[in-house]
Amino acid sequence: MTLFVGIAAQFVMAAILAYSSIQKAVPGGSISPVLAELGFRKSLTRPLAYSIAGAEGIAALLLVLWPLWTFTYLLILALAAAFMSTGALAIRQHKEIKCRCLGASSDSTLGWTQVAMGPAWLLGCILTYAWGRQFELETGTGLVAAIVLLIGVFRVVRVERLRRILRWDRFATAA
Amino acid sequence: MIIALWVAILILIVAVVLLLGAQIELLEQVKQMRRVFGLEDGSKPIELPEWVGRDASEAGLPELAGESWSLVLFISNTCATCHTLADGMRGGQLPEHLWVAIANVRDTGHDFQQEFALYGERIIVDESAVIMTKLGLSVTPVGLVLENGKIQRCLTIPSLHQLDIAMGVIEGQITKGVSA
Repeated sequence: MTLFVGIAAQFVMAAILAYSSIQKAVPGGSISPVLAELGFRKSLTRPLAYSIAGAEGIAALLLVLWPLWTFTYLLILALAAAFMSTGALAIRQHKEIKCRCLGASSDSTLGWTQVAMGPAWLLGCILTYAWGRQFELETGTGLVAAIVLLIGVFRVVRVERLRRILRWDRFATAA
Repeated sequence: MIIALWVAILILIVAVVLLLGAQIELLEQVKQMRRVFGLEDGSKPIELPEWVGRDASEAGLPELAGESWSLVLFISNTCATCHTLADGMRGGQLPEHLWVAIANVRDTGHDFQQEFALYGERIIVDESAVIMTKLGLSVTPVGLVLENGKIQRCLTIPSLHQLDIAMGVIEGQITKGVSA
């Protein structure tokens, strides 16, 4: 049971981080506008936004490939701390800022949710460190590929749905 | 060697997923632009004052006399939107209560009905647009709403989406006991 919980935590966290990273790396999905609204210097927002997306991707990879490496958890907890800080900053500034946590289409706003997620990330790290599974390099890479592929499947469904809506709603003049 | 292969596969999958994400972003932008500039399709009513409340059989649609309610979609072989609508109904599998009247406005040199395989008991061929002319309709695609075989109203149906919406709205009105 504990092993199952550990592996579940390991893969849920990896999937969330991979999804979040990919969403932020997509053109128009960057969190750069969020950072600008929080008051970060304009010259810093873009590199910072892409660093966060990159760090999330690396963390997802490390979580599956090297779950027993301390650096993996340092990186995840640093990201969690960054998310909590942005939430806390938005609360302190009394600003309603669109989160874009999981891409541009995320509707939630920055605030208590990000702060409350901090302990959840910590719990996930503890569970994975205690009962997570270390896979062979080949198997681990294959598993990461499977996670990304699953995200891709959801994307294909979304593209198809959007394409259908746009085709159905194509502006037409009666003749 | 195997690890290199897996890494290559992973990179390829990530690239494809990123491209799909970019496509989603583009499609969302198109959707947003259509909304902002008012380019989304909308249904408009068409006035048929002399026909409201009259039997559909008088207009040349005796098949609809026994129907509790129905929507007759008039499409013609000359309008581009009608081709899109017909393509969406290819094979003639129509939702319940939907009838299609194909008006062959003029000879275009090819068989519209055959092109989209529009055959079935709820598909009517309005040769030379006789029914449409009698009703005073000059545009397609339009939907004629009937309740108990009597004409209630008429509206433009510019897309499959609007057809879907119109069917839902009429059904809702009938269920609530409001006249369609």
